[in-house]
Amino acid sequence: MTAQNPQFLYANDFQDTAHLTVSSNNSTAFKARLFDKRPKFQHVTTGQTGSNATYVYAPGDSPSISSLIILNCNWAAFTATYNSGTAFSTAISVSGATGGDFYFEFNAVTITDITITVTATSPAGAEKRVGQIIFSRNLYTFPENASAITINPSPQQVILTLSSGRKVIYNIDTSLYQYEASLTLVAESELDNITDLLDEADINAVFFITRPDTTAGSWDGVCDHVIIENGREIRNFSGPFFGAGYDVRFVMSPAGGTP
Amino acid sequence: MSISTEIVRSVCRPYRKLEMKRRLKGATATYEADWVDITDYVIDWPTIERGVSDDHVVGDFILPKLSVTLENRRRAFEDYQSPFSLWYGLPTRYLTMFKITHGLYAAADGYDNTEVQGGTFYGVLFDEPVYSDDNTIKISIGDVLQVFKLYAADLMTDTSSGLTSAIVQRFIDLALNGVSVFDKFFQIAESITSGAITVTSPATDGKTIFEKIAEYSTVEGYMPEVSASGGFEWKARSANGAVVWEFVGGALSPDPVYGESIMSIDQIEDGSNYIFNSVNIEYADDTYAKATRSWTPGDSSSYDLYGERLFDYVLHDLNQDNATSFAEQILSNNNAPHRRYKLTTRYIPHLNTFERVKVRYEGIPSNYDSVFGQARFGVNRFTEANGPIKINNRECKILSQRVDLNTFACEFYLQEV
Repeated sequence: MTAQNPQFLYANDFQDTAHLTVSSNNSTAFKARLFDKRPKFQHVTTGQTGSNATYVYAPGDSPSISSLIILNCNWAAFTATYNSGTAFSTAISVSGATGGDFYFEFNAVTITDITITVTATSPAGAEKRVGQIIFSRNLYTFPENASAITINPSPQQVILTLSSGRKVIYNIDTSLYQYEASLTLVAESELDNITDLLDEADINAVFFITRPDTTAGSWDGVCDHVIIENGREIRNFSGPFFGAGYDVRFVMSPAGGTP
Repeated sequence: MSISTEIVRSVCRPYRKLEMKRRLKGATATYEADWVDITDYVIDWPTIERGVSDDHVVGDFILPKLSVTLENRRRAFEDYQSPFSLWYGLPTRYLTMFKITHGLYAAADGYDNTEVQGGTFYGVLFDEPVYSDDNTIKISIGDVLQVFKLYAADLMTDTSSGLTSAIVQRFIDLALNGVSVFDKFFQIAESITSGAITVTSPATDGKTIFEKIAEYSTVEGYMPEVSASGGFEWKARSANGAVVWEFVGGALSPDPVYGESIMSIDQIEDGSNYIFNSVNIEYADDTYAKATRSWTPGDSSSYDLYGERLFDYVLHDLNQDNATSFAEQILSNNNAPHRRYKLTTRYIPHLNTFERVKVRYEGIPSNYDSVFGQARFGVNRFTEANGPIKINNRECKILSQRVDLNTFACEFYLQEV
């Protein structure tokens, strides 16, 4: 099930704080931090250092879910089940982790509820913290010949001139960046799938995962909400001697903000 | 590592953080426990200004109000009614607390992302945010001291006489129905320098608490400020402590400790515009305490050199003796000129108002082209030029400072001590 090709997911199915019940700090304002697109805004339990924390997602309708993403947490051990205790295929049960980000894929299921139970934190005995919980399903996986995903930072630099004429350089933290996706020799039939992706991205920000590794606790990819900025520049046919197809390039920027 | 060490490097990596605390619902309307980092939303950073204004006279001080432009593509900064808002489910955005911290990453052994803090500003959302259809929102963050403008001084029930510092303490401790009004706005306990002048029957003239604190600040020669730790401070305007920084620039060699920091000398004033040598304090209707000196034309006194410069002030909280003390203090502090300098410098974020500094600067003579045509041939004036400005290790106190968090250039307004 582990996929390594860059992948897009639909927007978070979790869009309404009323659909999530947390065993602690269940107020609307705190739960909103769990679907804000900035994982640094953490939901923090209160008084649950020694007891399990549960996060029950019950959207009210019956969506199909095949991905669970947990970002910026301090969880060391947790499980996730659906529809009152049914295990996913593949089952989600993590222990001995050190927090951070987690990505899980499983066979798509129609859910009425998903329950995440956190039993331990890293370091042990802390309040349970988590920045974002994303329930979603696959939208598009890049074909094998996707040639490159690059992240292009836009560094900011200020140069001041002192009275003697000497220069002083201030390198400001990079806060602006874009992803540039480049695919080569894409089959014409694949272009339809890419068009579907762009159509979806016109309506909703989508999740983009550069290297979706489902190995718990060792994820070194990037997961970001993105908007696709120039997605129409996709059709440049090239036919070198080793193959023929379309070159596809588009630029993505972080979507940011709330759902 | 210290901030001074990082400041003088030729390549620096500054950091800026904007954090907020929202008000929670409840009878005491306190704030959430943790600061929430919203740095990623900032599009345009403010200039932070502290101290006294450029044209200040006695008692004046700056109450900073910063303008910050934030990304609002998803309406995260809408008011609390919107489910997209960061305030959703909470009370109004009004009086949300903000903290801006800035400084430099330590550069020892390569950049290691250790923050060396330079400056901190605490503020509250005071004015209406300005929405724009260009995906941004502009918010105005007022200094925390603005909250004293929201409440009338006559909320204070104890109107007995006391030292100015005791009255200021009463304002800070103000409680209604047993709940503190101001505690929630400050991160640590207040630091109030003891005053010397007793005021009578305070808070009976319909003014705000802010106006009263400002009046007492004038009376004592003090100034209110919020410290880098977020506490209320009421402190003397006199230059305090040892020299903490030396500004060096121009043709001089960089200082081995403080480097070269001056970008330009923007203004030098002799200080004669700020002389007051005749003081009238109205402490009751048409009743004055005066401070002045006798003089004779030609005696080189302040009156002979600069004429009679009058300072009038009305404060009915004083008796005659205390009004006279106040008048004498104004006279002795302001009857002689003190030179002032306005400098633009590289990023020096850690200095405080009224701290003691030194300035060394020697101007670089302009090239001939820039002054040619103003001079007469045959007069050997160019070859002997030694620069238009020389400031020879002058000891000053910081009257005000501006830190531009977009360009990292700073402005300092200094007065010789």
